[in-house]
Amino acid sequence: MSQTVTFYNTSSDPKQVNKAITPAKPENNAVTYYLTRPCNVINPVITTSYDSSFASANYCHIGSPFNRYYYIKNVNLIPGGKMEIICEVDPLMSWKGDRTNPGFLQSKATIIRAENPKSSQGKDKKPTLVADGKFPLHTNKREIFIDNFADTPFYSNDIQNLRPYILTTIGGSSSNSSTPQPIGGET
Amino acid sequence: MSTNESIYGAQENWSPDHFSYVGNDRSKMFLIAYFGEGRKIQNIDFSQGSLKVGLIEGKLPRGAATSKGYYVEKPIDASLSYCGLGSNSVYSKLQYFVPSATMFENGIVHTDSRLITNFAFTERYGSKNTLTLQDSGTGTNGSSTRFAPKGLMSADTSGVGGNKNQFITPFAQIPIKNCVLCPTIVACSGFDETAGSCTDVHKGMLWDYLDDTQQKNYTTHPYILAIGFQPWYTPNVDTIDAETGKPTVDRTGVAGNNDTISRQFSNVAILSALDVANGMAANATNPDAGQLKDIYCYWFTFSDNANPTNNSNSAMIFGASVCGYGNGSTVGMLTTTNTSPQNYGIIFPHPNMVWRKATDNNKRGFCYIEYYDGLQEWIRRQIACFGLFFTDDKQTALNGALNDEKMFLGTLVNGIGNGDYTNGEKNELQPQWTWETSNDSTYDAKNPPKVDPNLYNGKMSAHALQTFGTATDRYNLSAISTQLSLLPKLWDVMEMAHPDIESISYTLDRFLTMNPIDAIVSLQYLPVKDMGSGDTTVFLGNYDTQISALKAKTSILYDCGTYEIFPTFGDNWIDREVKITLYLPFCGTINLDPEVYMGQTIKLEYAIDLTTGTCSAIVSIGDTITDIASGTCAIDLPVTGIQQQTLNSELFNANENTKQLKINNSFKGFKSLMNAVTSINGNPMGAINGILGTAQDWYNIDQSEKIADYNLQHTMIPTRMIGANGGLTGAMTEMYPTIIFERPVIDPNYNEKDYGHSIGFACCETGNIGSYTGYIQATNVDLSGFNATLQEKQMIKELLLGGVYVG
Repeated sequence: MSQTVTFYNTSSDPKQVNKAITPAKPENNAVTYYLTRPCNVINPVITTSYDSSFASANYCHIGSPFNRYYYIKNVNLIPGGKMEIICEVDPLMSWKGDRTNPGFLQSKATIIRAENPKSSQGKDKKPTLVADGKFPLHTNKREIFIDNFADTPFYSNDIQNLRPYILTTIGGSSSNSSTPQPIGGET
Repeated sequence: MSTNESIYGAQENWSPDHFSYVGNDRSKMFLIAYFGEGRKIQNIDFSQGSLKVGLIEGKLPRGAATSKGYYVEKPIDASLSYCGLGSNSVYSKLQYFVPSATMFENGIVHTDSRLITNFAFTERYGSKNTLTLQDSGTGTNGSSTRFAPKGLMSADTSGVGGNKNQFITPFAQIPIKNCVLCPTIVACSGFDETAGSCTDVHKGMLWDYLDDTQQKNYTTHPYILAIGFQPWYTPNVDTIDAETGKPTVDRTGVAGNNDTISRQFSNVAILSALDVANGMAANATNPDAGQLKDIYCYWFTFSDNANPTNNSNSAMIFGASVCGYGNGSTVGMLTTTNTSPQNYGIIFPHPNMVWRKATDNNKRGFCYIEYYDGLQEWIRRQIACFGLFFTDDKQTALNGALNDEKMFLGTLVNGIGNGDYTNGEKNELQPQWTWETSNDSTYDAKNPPKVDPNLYNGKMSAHALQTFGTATDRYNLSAISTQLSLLPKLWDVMEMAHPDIESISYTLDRFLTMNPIDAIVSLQYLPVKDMGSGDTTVFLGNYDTQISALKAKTSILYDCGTYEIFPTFGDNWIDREVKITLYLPFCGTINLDPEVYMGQTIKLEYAIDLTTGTCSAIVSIGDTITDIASGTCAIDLPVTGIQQQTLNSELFNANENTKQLKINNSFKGFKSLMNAVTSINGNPMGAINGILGTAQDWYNIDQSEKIADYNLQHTMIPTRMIGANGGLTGAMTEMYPTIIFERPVIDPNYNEKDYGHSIGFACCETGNIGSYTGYIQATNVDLSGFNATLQEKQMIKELLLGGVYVG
């Protein structure tokens, strides 16, 4: 069983699922590793022969038996032309999956925040309808806007020339008694 | 329920007519009924499913005979309906206007409010076909949309004349899994209001209109004149996936020229009884000709223009119809010309509809809505009312499965579609998923579900007092100078009350009382417009004072107009944080829930009872009343000592209210009022004189800009009013209904792009993680299916919860 490790450099944020990785060397950047002490799949420590390009790498892929991507947390140089690579698994890159090998990108989940929510895709109407406590709204500022309806049933001025009085008298003789009307109807 | 084969013919005889199918699976075909063999009459082809053949064959009941033929007086059998249309459908609230020179002033004269329990899709015929009221003519085409209580058929041996309803051909079967409704739209870039024409009218599918990479889209052509929908289907019926309805050959929209050969889908024939129109003039241009009564209503909602071509393969859900709606150059236009013999124009309403006339004369104008963010959802909900599969995504329309993410299915509750819908795999949970055709529906239009009484969709139509007469006369008196002329006259009246027997008799004859002042029942100040109509003179009992006045109305309903509550922040959650307060003169303030009102156009009306001064401000959205606030806008002016005490009490209360409102400058009015009261020396006439004099002060108050400014300001923060302000205090405040928005303020340094990238927008959606791009935070993730260690899966969960960048 060939135990190889491939060295890369990445400038991607650890939160990036698909890391942008470049080989630590243009060629022959995969070397055989061996173990000098017990190690586990999450934080393996492996030993390789010294190479300055590898020593300055910050990312690697450890092949069989782990087959995972790892951050290089530290490098210890060992006398005799060896170096010890201290790694930590990158579960995002390692288990993102693809069409043939499902990973967590194919998993269903509840998306609680998103840069591009589906509810706003196709139209520029971000943010979404879900209230957002992190949104930078001023807590003590309010913008006031006042507007009137176009019309009012009430006199707002010029009462002098209008008819604001209703006089009710004992009736029955003037042919003026109130006539039933539909609401809003004319007499 | 299944289509009644005793009327519409045996199923095996139903025909695809002019649809050109490849294959034999009839369950995937639109099929027309079979009343009998189709036939040619006077060189005109009548299909086997046409009403003409149905009447000749005795399958449909004949009505009264006329010299030109006979009427169709009853709706066609209700078994064609596979569902009903609920109160949220525009078909349940069609609006009508009367084409005339004053139609823009008169506006909508009637609005339906009903459930459509019985409707049918029909085949189009030629450029236009419908039931129509027109009962003469020799053409073979009807008109675009008609109001038709009675369809007139020509004689059995005649192919022309009548009112052309005889061509109408209802579908006896809709293929559920080969029918996807797709929205269409007609829009223009602007208006030439002088010429009364629309600029660059564009007709197309909604999906193209919403694509801003298209040359004509919602930004270039924001004025929408009509919206419709048309079914898409695949002609290769034998290769449709039996489970998912996915076609092997792309679906296509129904198409056909304006001829009698290539007729295909068009029209929604509403067959529910239109009892709400009882009493309306049968002919608006000749209202004395008779009234509509016991109508079996046939509305054909043919939309000549709400489709991507100029052909009639689309049914309407928004727009104006009938008048001047005939061709592309005048699409969307309302005009007074060519009104005969139409009785009413029809509006398929939308809350944001604008009704605007051209400036050159009163004969032309437009009905339109402007594009807004929520339009797509509004269209979806309207199409959903029909309970069929639909989509507004082109690729899904072409070849999508019926359970694809962008395939929708209208939800039917007790067989009624009310605008809700599902999408994707949830479509499989709806009963329509198991239907092959519309005949698999269990909905029974002959016995429709009862209307939920909580779905109040009507509006007040009568004054509570309208059935009562009164023993009083009521006058609307003019302003102060006229008022003051009343007072000397009243002094004259008082002099009549001399205590000799003759005078007593005279006084009793005139006033029914020994004290003439008692002939005055009340005197009220109401700052209300248009309270009177019809000239008269003031009578005190039987005594004519010769003072001119108007007869007072009992009540008025005053339309204050509409107001669009427009989402400022793009219809997102921030708009839900806006506080909306409506200040209603004399009725206090009400808070409008932004969840309900944002994006809506509200209508405000005041119903004012002029006998008591009680007023109610009625807020509505469309035809649905959403809020009512009440108050009193009358101020009783005392004419006796007892009434004076009442006024004193009112003044005290008003004073307290005024303190509360801090309307300092308005105390001038109260001061004058108080002076008037304190100057009274037990003489009731003096009371009138004094009180009336204060009206001048009120007038002055209203002229004061300073107070007017204050009145406006006092409606600002904090806008809270416990109960309504009464007549006295109300008269001193802002007289226009006022809407106040208190909007959140976003940090000026906020950058949407940066925020989305580093924090993400709150969304709470479900889906595959890989279907997103950029930053996400996720929870409830299902990590089965790959062999990471338990610790790694825990790490992945924590990382997803804390936020990762995908895609």
